[in-house]
Amino acid sequence: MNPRDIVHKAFVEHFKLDAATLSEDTKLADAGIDSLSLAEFLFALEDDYGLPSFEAPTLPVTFGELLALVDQIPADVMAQAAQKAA
Amino acid sequence: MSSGPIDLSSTAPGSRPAPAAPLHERPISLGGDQAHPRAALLLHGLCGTPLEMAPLARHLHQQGWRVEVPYLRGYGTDVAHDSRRVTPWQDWAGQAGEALRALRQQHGQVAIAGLCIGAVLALKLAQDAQADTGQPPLTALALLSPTLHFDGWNVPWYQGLLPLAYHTPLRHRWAHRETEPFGLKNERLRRWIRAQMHSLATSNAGAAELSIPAMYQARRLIAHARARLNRITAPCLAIHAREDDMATPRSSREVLAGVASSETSYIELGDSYHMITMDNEREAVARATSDFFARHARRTSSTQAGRVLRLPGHGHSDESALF
Repeated sequence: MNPRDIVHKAFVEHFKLDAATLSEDTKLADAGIDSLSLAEFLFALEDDYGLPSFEAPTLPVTFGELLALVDQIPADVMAQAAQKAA
Repeated sequence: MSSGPIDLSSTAPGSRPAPAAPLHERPISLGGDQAHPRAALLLHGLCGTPLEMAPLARHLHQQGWRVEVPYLRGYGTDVAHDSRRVTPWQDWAGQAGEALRALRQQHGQVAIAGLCIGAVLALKLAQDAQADTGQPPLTALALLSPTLHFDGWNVPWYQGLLPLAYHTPLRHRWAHRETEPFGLKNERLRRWIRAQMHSLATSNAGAAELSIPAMYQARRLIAHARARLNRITAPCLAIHAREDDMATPRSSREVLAGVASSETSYIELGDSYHMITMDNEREAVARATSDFFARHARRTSSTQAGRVLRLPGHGHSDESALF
């Protein structure tokens, strides 16, 4: 499972969304996700998959921008996360 | 959760729509399009945003309440970097009062919860509602970190002098900059808030600065509400963190000792600071508030049914008409 798929699956499960309606252009606010909910989701990723704290100069507005945060994570850390997700 | 309506101030051809409010200034409205007999009005803190109340709003909605969290202008984060935008506390109460009136027109059972100065606004609304005999009584009040005194461990020693500066040229030139822990014991969330404060100059935990006019109006509202606590008869729940960095539990104890409520209840939290709606025990706060509201909503509806049954000429009561 690649890193973005891990986050995509976790996101859909955490917020109980219909994966078919979610695209990278989907605005988080339109999906009913405020900044505190987003923080809680990122904390859950840290806890469940051992991911490091996300650093973002500005909050992601779209789902695509959220997925782009994943690109910050070192490859070895994501490999361990992928094992946990499997 | 609704992202809030976009305000189109003019629909004339060629006119540009007004920009949507920033996300953190948008009201939260849950369940307004469905039939809910019960509604809750949630009031955010001074220089804060509806997002402070989001976890509580979500929980109440899941428990079957319609929930409205208005954004109060001249009181919320719009005053954060322009102290001239601060409006008199009577305007704050007026906006909150309008939101309450709208709910009471549509719902037989309405409860109010407020955080920090939002709790003081809730007290003011309850005092005014008590005088309004044309409406059913308020179902219940939940006062979350109510602030009658700024005496927490992170409040600077000169805080009490700041209202004096209101009457000097300093009033628009100085602001109290919030420092860690920003009312949050949860370090991870605090780190998040700190990053937001740097990038956005506001955050879920409210504005990074509190201006002198904002604090002055808050103190005037507090004085007004404190003098009239005994007018409140709605059931009151107060929840306060033992280690509140802004206002100690003294405020909650004073409120509950002063109201004339049929029932008061107090919960003290051991693992939170001031922003209890967002901090470590936010789920416990939401559950306790929801349970308190639900218990009194059942009592209110029973009382209303009893009143109908006692009316002369009513040999048969249709309870379904009460909701």
